[in-house]
Amino acid sequence: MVSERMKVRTTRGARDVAAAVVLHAIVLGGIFGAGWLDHRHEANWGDLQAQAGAVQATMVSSLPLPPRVKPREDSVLASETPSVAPPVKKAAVEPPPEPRAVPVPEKRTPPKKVAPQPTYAPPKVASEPPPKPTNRVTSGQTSGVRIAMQAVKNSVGTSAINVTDQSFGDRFGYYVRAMNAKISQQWLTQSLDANAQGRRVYLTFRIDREGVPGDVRIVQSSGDRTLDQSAVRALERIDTLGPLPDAYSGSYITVQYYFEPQG
Amino acid sequence: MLVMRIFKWWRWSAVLAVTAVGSVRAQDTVFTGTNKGADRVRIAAAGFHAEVGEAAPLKQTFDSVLESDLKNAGVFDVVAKSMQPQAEPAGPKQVDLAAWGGGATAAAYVAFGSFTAQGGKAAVNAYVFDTHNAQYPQVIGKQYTDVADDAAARMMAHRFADEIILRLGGGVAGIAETKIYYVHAGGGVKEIWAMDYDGANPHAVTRLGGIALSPRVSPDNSRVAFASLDKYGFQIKMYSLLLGRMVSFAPQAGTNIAPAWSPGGQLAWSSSKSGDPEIYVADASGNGAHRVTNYKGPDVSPSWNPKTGSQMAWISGRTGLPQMYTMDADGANVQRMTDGGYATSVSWSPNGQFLAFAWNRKYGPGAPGGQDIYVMDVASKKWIQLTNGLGQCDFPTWSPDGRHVAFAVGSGARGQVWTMLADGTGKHKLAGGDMPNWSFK
Repeated sequence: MVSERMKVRTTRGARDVAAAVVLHAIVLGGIFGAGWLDHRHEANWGDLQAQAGAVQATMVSSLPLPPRVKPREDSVLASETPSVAPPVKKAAVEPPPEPRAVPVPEKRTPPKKVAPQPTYAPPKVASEPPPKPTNRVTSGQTSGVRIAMQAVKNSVGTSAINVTDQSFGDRFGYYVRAMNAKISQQWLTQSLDANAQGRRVYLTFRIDREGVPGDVRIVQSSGDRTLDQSAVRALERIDTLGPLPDAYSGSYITVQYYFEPQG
Repeated sequence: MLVMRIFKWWRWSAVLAVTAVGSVRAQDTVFTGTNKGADRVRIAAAGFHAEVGEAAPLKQTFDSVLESDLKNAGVFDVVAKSMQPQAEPAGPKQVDLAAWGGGATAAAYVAFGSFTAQGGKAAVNAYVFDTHNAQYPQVIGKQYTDVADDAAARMMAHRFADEIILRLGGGVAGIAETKIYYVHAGGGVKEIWAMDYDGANPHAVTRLGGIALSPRVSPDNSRVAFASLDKYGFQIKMYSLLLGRMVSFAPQAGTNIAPAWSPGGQLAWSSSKSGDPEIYVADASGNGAHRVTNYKGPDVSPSWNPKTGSQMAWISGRTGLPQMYTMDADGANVQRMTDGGYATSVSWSPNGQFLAFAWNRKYGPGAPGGQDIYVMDVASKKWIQLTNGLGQCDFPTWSPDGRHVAFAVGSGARGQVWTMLADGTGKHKLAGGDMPNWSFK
């Protein structure tokens, strides 16, 4: 009888312990499980986060500062303001000839005959000589004094034709370089289509004496609308490219420009 | 191929010429494109040539100021003195372009010239040459004359540097001739002081013997408005830089602080005449004051859009902690810009695109971070943080070229005025002071 009761008690005790263990397991599992469920979508510190991207390259690049030069990683002196001086090349020294060496005679090849290439001469605009003065009286009922407009027109025409890239670019290379840098800075390529790569859009625009670009026109479309549009926007974004050089006498320059995304 | 292309452009120019004939005096055509490589312009500043004697110490000043101006500009890669030739060419005949453009120097441009001083007059012949253009190397040729003293040598260097920045930096005028106005604390008083943009030549502007705060210089550099504490409380005061004395500004009821100039010469400030700090706008003499904000909670620290003059950014506590807002100049179209934290002073960039402001992004006990300078793109409300770990940063102010931001670190007698490029690089201390304000030009 006694042993019966003992047995009942022990089995009951074992059952209680088992229930307690199961209950604890459920509670602990619930805590850890809830924690895991709650936090499994949160990124750890230092992970890439879409939200952390409040900093965008577009914005900084539209500050009127040039892009920073990347420090060279192989250089122990890498700094924020690296100096891009190239290494000085050593002149190659030829080994002295051996004292008893006999020079090998060089084989002479007859010069290749080349057919004369046709050259394209610039189309010349003939300037009419001003009419010779006559001895006629210029007072009274004459047709009035006329300025030789033709000659002016011609000289403008010829200068526009002759003075292409070469003249302005050679004379004021610094202006062209500064202009290039500024336009490149203002060209935002994030909005480009994937198939805009390797295409080229040709534009023309004018720069007046104050340096303000205007009259932007697409000469030859790239066939990609996003590229065409971003190129025009880049120019529209610019307030001034800097006043034209003082030594330049013209009232404006026409720039023919192309945009080509890095392939 | 090349011939064909040239021919193509020839034909093009011919068409242009025909259409342009008659309406034009003369024009040039330039053919260029992107993907041609654009980096910082590498420039070398040679020591200026000077005879020994009167000119020698002034020439040292001129050289060092010119070099620091070019370095500060943010658009140049200035060749280190140790990597460039030791020669000091006096004129175009003496300069050896191959030496400056090649080797370790590899400068695209070189600035050089001569400095002469005689009988109390100094003259500078200054040149910038393009090292890779043997035929037409001259980019700039300028002559400056002034009295022969240290301040004048400094000024001539600033003017030459600004000319170089204008010509080679994409047409944005340099800031070497601008000034920074700030609050100088000492001896129990706070006065308005001014210094050159590089921290040189700090000097007192006002001598009122009281508390003067938040100086703002007018767009034409003729007046400085500031808040002053006297027996009637805080009032807006006006100091004429042309007359060198105080000029009148109509006294207002309540506490009046934080003046701000519009590009057209109007003044906005914060006044508590209605019992609650609100933004008011009046003319430069304080006449015709009218209120533009109307909401419970403090409205302070206005800043106009310098590009259009038709918008204002300011700080408002209408939802609890102070936040940054923008509105039209008549008070319409209010937009909240910051989404939380504790924003204080704000400054609108000269091109109208950005707001620089001081922000404690996670405000509260035990929160990480501190008060730092941020820049926000107005259109997209995207921001970047520019300072970190310097201490309590406040009162950002844009330089007129939009490439620099000056700000205060700390406050009171221990405050310092710092400057940096607008992308957060090149931070350095200028002077002891507080509440800087960059002049318009």
